[in-house]
Amino acid sequence: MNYQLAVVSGKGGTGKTTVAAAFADLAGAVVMADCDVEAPNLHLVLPHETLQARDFSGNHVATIERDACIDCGACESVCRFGAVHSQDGEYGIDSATCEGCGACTYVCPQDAVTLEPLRTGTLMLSQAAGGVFAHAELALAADGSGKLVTQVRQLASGEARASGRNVIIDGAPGMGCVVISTITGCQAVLAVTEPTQSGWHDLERVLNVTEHFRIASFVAVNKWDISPEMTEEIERRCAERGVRVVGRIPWDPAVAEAMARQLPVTRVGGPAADAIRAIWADISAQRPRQLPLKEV
Amino acid sequence: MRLAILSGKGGTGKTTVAVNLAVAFASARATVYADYDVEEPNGFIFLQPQIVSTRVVTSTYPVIGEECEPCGVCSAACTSHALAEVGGRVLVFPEICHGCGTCTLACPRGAIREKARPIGELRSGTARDGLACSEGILREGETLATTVIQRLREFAERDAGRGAQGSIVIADCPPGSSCEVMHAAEGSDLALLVAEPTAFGLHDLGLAVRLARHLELPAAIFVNKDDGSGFIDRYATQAGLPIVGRLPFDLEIARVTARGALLMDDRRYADTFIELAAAVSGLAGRSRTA
Repeated sequence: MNYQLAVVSGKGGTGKTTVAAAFADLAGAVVMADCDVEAPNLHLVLPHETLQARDFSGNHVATIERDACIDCGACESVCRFGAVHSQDGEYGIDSATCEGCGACTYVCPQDAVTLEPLRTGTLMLSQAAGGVFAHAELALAADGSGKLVTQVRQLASGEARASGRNVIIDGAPGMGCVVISTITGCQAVLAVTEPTQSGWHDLERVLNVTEHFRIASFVAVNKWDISPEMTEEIERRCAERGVRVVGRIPWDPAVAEAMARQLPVTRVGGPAADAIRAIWADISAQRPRQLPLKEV
Repeated sequence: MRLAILSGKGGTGKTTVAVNLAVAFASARATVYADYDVEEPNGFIFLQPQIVSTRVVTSTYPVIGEECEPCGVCSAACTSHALAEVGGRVLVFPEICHGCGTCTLACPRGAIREKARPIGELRSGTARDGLACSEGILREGETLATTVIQRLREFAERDAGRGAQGSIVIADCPPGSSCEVMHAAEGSDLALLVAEPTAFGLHDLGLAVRLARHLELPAAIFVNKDDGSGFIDRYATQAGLPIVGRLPFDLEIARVTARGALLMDDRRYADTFIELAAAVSGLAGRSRTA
């Protein structure tokens, strides 16, 4: 079985992508996936060449054929998303609000409403140093980021099966649909947090979700030296709920420098890179047979 | 007046700016702070409002009645894949159901009824200077953030327009660029984009700018963790967007916000938000009369 590890955080901006890019560098032969399809950043620090890009239609949108429509309003009466509106007695669909459920198509006496596929994003497959890299970009203000994430996961899993490699996933902030799609079927989750009240609040919520889906979870505290007291508190609270904190990453200007040079922080070096290297050694030792481990 | 605080990238300081700006406004005018980041709402950590009201947000899901003679029509009609016909039975997966009701319309035997289930909660209360605060919270394991956001908009802002002349709503939006952000931001008078001067920050600021334009919102930028590099300034000039405020890169600021304290309570930083309040009022006022 291919081993899949997802990096999540709850709160945004805690350092998921920095850690995931460093893991890509340390893992050697590995399939990477960026599941933060709404604001993807991994491609900015993972040198790669895009092999293919294709449109993904993850949703539908209802359209009314004006010639057939008798403006009876039946569609409006069943739409629960407020997507049907009438102007001067003529009915139309607000495509930005339409969820593509098709309820309107079942009640239209004229069969004037049809569902058309809607492009919700672009799916990309790229070649990085250690293997292929699956990523995507959600269309602006589109619905269905979760479905696009599932596509990225399937692309990565297919490549992983074909090559016998494992998958490292850079996740999105939050704990809802996108994160659930990102962690489903993973063997482990690393939650990267920061030593702040917000960081802990959001970490606890995402850990409740990983626990709900019974996925093994580890925690790393990034920029821990901003508040050693809060770091200790997070470590204590994680211990109370049986979640292991696998490391502390110090605040380090080399992280910003690596980002500016479009490289994983491990290529620049420094105390943060050293800490991430130790975390990778720890996590990959959990599953020595499944996780490929280069010299670290 | 309604202000949407956006960023694209997570962790750039949306909530830091939103809560301190709300406090800066509240001493002078009727102010509503609403936390639309329903997956990870953090505003109440800083504002500590006295909670006066809570409401459960529900969504519906189908219940298959005894009249059902499995024919496959409902599972084919469900675009969320929340229904499946397996072994001569219809299985329902409530947690992925969007509550659209299409299956009830599609069933030829009228065998499907609906039940409500809780997917989140809305909370509201009052913080200092009468600052009205609301937040939405998505239940852990649930996926319908958009529904919670839409209910929060009705709950938090229903009375805002009827309040005192010159009242203001500060909408602390979720990160990202999806329809969730759209539902939280649309119809605002100004999008205040909180950006940080990093490669990731600049990339995602571009997304936030595109989203603001898509929603036809006037936009202005707040530079957070400003390192003096001029990185965001150059972009702002090119994009023709004003910079209405900035906080320096300072580990001391990180320590203040880390413990959940307000920068408005620190005389070193309070002026930043008082000046920001004046700047955004001017911009939003102009966009309203335009």
